Amino acid sequence: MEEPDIFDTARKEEYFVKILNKYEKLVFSVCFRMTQNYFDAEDLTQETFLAFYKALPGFDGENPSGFLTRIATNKCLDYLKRAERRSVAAEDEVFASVPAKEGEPEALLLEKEVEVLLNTACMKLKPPYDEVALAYYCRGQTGTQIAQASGRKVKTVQTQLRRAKAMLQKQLKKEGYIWHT
Amino acid sequence: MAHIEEELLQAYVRNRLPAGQEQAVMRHIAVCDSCARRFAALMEKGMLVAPPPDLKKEILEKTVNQKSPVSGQEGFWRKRSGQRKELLAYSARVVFAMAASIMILFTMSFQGNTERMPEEIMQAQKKTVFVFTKDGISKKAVSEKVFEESEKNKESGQENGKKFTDSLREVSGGIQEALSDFWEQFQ
Repeated sequence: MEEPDIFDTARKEEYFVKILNKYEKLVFSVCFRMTQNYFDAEDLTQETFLAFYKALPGFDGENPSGFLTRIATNKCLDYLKRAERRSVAAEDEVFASVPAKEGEPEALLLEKEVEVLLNTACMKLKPPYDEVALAYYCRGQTGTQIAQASGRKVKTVQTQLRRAKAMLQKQLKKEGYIWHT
Repeated sequence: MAHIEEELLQAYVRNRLPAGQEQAVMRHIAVCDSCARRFAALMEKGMLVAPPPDLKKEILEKTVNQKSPVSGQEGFWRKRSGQRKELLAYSARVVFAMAASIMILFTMSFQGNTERMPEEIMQAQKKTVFVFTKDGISKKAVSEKVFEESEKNKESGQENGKKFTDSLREVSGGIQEALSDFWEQFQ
């Protein structure tokens, strides 16, 4: 991949899109591995790419996967620190899988396990959120695709997805999965 | 800490490290380009998890396809030019108002006809009302003053000349007031 020309906005943006396409899954996986929280990994991935975008003018093009991983790791470390502070302050039964804890490491959630978990959780949602959530989280359809298929407006679907996400987070936290929020 | 050994890194990737060591590994990856790259390579060998479908779109919207105003430099200049445009549009309306008022008063003052005056006064009121959209109070005051002055003008055409300039002063005074009120919000 050619180096980005920092004085050329068009090329810089083209480069960013290339990097995003190539490394989105990796960055998400790193964030998920480090936090074990599917939804927060999403936010942290966004933050990582935003930071990368801002840092692009000074980036020499060397080792983009390493650079992105470093940014992601830093974001995750900050996140875990905040989560630890919250769980200590809250003093409740939150299963905070803070790395500082000693003892047996919790079971790692791999992609297959995530899929099953989400599938089960999505099906428990009340209609119409169950079908929207299943299409999105389990069949990989975008909000736009779901809107087209169901004949709804994109904005409607996006609102439904937002609500479904909140319900899923709540449900999974209740079930005691390792979710830091 | 020196670079992470391959075995340790693999153990971390597969979640076989005690929690305390995990933190140490993470803290090193956060600052070391080569270990970060090695860690990424290991992740790509079967540890990848698919993100939700719209994540890419959301990232693009916040970077390359930015629609909403950004905070900071760009947003500041957009806001400034937006305000300038508003001020320009307002000034244009004010100039139009002045021109229209002058024309009307001019027409009125040279009409010897007292019968037609009320109609023109009403038109003057109407025209001023339409043009001033900013402050309800000041636009009303201007129209009333014009109306009062013009009522007195019904008597003689000679007095009209003087009344005309007086009315003009009232109108421009009102406009000046409204304009300075508008400008104040940018101070």
